[in-house]
Amino acid sequence: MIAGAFSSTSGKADTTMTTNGQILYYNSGRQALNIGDEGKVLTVSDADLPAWETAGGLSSPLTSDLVYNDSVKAAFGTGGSDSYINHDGSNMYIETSTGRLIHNTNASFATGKCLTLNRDAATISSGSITGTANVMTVDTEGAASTDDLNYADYTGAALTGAFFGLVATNSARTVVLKANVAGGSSFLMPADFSLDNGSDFAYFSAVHSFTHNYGIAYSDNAG
Amino acid sequence: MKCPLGLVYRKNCIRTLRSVWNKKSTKDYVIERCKAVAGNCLPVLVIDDNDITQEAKCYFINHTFDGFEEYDDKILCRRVEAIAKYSVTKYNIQKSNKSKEDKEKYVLLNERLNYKHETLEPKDEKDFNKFVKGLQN
Repeated sequence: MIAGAFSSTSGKADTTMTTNGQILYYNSGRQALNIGDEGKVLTVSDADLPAWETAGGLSSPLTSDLVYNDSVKAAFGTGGSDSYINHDGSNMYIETSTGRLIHNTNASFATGKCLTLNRDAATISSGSITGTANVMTVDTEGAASTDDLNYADYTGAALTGAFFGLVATNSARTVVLKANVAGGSSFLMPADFSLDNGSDFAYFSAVHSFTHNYGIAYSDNAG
Repeated sequence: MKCPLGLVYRKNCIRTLRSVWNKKSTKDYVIERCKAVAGNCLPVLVIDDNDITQEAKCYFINHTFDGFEEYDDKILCRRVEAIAKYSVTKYNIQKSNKSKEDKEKYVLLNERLNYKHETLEPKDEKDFNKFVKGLQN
């Protein structure tokens, strides 16, 4: 709409609009709305009048967190070729404050890449520990010079199915893994085994949904 | 029944010291564990902690599971004799009433000196020898 080219029954449009880009609207009479800044979109203001405002929706790159409501998927691809999540920076984290991360398909690592597993520490309490990582450094109760470990609980939803290793926290204290103790998350293994030294190591499988821990290997690396 | 200090379950044997083995409770423990888990029927290698130059003795549970008989396995004997000083010193440190920090420090030095046969810094070696001598008094 260009000033002077618009003709109305009252003949007043040209007296309302005087600048290129203006548009006409009614608010207790004819009003001119100046053209908005580049990239702005025409919307309805809080006063229920037309107005130019910054466009809603996403603008790349995002400068604040993007929040999805519960049960909303971020979908990539439409059944065609590969999709990618690219990251270029330091470490990339997928943070889950509750629950766990579940893949519903097989997982593979690209050639030359490695899966590394972290460790955590546990202190024996009444002959038991609760697993929290794939390798547990185990200390004796009350820093006693020796202590028996009868059970390692890996039955939690986020733990069952884990492979895990046990190592003594310190060579000065001996953790004795007791084989086939009745009940609970005991160790199914051929014989008792002393983690007598920080070099000793025992490896188990907490088979998914099973209670016991199945022995895989024991390394008495210090005599 | 807790595993006695100084009785160490290895993959092929159980290693211990004469002073530990001489206790009835130690033998009772080994018998109980043999009965509980057949895999625990292993030769018991005993180092003489009064004289580590002596040959290690080897015992095996008898067929009635109420005692032990001498058993001859020179390979296992040589293996434990090779680490006799390390084993005896470690046990003496572990059973002492020294602080947790001292035990950690001197067990590690014992491992370096008597197991890995490393040369310690003169000050560390002097401290270690003094500490170990103090355990014997």
